Amino acid sequence: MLFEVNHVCKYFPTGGNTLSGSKEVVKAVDDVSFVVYEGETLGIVGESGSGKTTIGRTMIRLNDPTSGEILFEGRPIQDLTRKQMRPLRKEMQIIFQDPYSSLDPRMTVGQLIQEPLDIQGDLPLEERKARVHYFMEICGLEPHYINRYPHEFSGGQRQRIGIARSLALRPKFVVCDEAVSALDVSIQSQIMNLLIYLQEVENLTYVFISHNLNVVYHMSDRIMVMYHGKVVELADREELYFHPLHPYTKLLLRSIPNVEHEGIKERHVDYHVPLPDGYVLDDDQKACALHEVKPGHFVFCKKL
Amino acid sequence: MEAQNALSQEQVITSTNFYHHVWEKLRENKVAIVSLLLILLLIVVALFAPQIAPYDEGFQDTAHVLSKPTNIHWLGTDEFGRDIFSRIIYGTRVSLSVGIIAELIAMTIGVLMGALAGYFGGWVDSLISRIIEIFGSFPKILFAIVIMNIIGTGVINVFIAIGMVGWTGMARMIRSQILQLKENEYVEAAHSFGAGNTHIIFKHLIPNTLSTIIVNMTMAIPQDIMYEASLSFLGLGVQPPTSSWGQIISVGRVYISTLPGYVLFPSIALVLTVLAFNLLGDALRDALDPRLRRMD
Amino acid sequence: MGDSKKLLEVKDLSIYFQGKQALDRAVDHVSFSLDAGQTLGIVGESGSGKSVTALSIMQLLPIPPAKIDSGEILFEGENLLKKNARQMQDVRGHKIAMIFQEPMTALNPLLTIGEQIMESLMTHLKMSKDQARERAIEMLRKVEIKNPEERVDSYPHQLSGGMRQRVMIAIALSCDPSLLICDEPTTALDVTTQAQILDLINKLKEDFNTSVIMITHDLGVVSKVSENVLVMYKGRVVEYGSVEAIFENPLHPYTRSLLAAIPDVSNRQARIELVHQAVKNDDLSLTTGDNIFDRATYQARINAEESALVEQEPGHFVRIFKNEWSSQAQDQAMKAGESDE
Repeated sequence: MLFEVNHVCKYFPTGGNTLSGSKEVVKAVDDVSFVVYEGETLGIVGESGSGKTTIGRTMIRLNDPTSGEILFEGRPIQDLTRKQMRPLRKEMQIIFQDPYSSLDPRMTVGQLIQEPLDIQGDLPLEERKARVHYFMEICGLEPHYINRYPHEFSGGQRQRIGIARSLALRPKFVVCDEAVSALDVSIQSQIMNLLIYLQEVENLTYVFISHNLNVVYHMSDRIMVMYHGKVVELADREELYFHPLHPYTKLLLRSIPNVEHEGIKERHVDYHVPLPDGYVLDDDQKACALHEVKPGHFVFCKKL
Repeated sequence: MEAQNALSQEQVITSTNFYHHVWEKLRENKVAIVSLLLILLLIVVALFAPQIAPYDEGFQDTAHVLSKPTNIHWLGTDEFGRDIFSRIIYGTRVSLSVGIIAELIAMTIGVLMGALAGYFGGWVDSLISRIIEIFGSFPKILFAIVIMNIIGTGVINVFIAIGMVGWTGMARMIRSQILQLKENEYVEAAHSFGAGNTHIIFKHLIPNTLSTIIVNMTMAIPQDIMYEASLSFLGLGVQPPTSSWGQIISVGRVYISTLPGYVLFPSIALVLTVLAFNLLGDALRDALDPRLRRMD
Repeated sequence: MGDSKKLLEVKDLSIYFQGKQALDRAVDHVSFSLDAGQTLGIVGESGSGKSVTALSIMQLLPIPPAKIDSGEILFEGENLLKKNARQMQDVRGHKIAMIFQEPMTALNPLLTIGEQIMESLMTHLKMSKDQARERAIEMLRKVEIKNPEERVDSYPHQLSGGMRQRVMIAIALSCDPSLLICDEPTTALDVTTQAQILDLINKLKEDFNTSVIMITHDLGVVSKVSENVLVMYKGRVVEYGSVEAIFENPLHPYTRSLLAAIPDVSNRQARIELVHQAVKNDDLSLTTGDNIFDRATYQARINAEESALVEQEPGHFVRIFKNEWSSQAQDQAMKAGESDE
């Protein structure tokens, strides 16, 4: 078990008047628990406002959780200061959605990829340069790009730079936050291929966040569905995709505009599988929790 | 929209370097080039004043007091028989160095304050913003006069006084730009690598405000030159025998009816310099503005 | 082909952008037509020219830098490119309406949604204020916004993304246009909202008997709403046909690669194997490039060789290179050429 997330909440203050001190909050992540196993890809799907991005950022402590516990390799990290987190940054990284705003326009490709190594500063310069070359190569960037600026590249190539950068520290764990959402379809598949390839050669564990069910399905071993800050369903990929139990998951799956043609078989999603005995859906959120209704299949429901 | 995206992407791919492009753009602007040449000329004059000026700035030709322009004294002499042309040339040193050094001081304070306020927000921002407002609520020249009265006259003190009143505009610009810039994902990316605040501010945020800084500086320099002239005009700035344009104008105004050149010539120098910096600043702003850049 | 039933006919349209080196045409000899009540999907990636084509129909392209090089756009038999700015204003919003990807930027934050719907009704249909307001409420009801009587006085920021897009549709359809152009109308929306909006467009198309041009990068969206599909790549039409023909029998390698690029259940294992194969053989080009459609090679060929759109099956056109023309295809190309004249 690489990551263990226990009852994590993340509230953001909102709208409240700073003078009167009234505290209204948005519960971006509301009592969420799950684990990430070493070597797997856990997909997180949800629509905007579901909290999928927030949980991804909170687990690697780019946000401070409001409450709850985050264990990385068994070690609690939810209360570590930024300084204490610094050595752990080598282990956990993030790939961002927007290949335009995530690269500093004033830095060259070489500087960008070397930056994380410079910040960590525990490798001799020679080795840092070698790493830059190595990761440029395996991310499919030509060596002569090294002195170019990000604006000289297309979206797909920029995302390759972003990936090379995130992997330069040789992390164990990477959050891919909508990493392919901003790209054209055909570029998307190239980048997904690259991510799968890198997972293989670098032994990575991914949390793959996307609003696109097809993309998540393609990348993940297990999939977690989030809705309004809660996990509503978590199961193995096939199980979740073909035997969804929670009504929201079913709605999501129904909404995908799918192309049906000879190459892609019609999906036979069984929308009518009932919850196992002893579990019911309930509108009263307080009565519900994430229960393991079948081995490995969790649903947000009420246990009788 | 997509049409524009496709367009800008293609154009962007061929531009090899941002500053190269800015220079190309600037070179097309004739006014900018003339201004730039004039500024370069002023710098040369300031550096080689002793070689260029026919007389020393303190030399008193007692035989020719308050003389009209002649072939010995091209622009005439003052009440002590000092050569006005020479004094204007020496005055370039003060005016330019006040413009540049005072603005460097103002820029440093402004950029730091603006960056801190914008980056940290919260009480830091409130505090710095209140300070900016307090400074902004009085006429700047009044503030400079107060400071000069406290720390005394002299060239160095002029730098300090003008630097201390001139930073607020820069701070305000930098603050608002940093507020925008810090929302960029590359800032969060730097956090994810374990970067500290110093690294983020100095490595990512401030370098990205460089064009704002440059434009702001060129626009502020003429203002500072005017402040110095005003302070010296009021007798608070540079003291004789050191000459500055403001100080020459200040003394010369008594003789405006008998010897108009005494006031006129240093005024022309002042106006031309201010104009050159202003026009260059305008051109730089246009050349550095990415929105205008895209439309060509 | 000169059938008077055609609502819109784009003939041989070429557009380029004046830039330092932009000799590439954004739209390169594009022709298509649309019957009344029909829906045409235009599919392509960014830079394919699909949006430029749409904007040129609306005459919303900034000229310069855009320049229309050749062609004509016949709408109800009149060439839109010959119309002046005032005449176009009459067409725009009245006979041809458009909705955009980002409804928030297309709506004026200072006006209520009611005022924004009424605006075009009052200018184009010369309605009185009361009439227009009534019609605005009716339109909001048609786009399935609850409590239209109250919502009509809401401001854009009080609405969700899906609601805003509904309002945009209401504005677009308020003057009963004969053509609705949708430029990525659901790209910015969540998937469940997207499904609702697509259903709504399908329903209103019937109700209003409006023709629709659906511009999107998402083949799934196209398959849901269109009867015919135009696939564009780098400003050129590479394939054109009915939805069934394009999805069941894609002929052009680019169309095939687009379809293959849709991540789906059946091809994950195959893809992983492909990646592993590549790793084993130390051949990274496989993982970094398309395995079916090689852009660079295609671009080089299309620059060097002559290509043409050929009718391979009835109503199903595909772009092929000259030396690939089978004698049969050549015959058909000749025929198509003759019937064009």
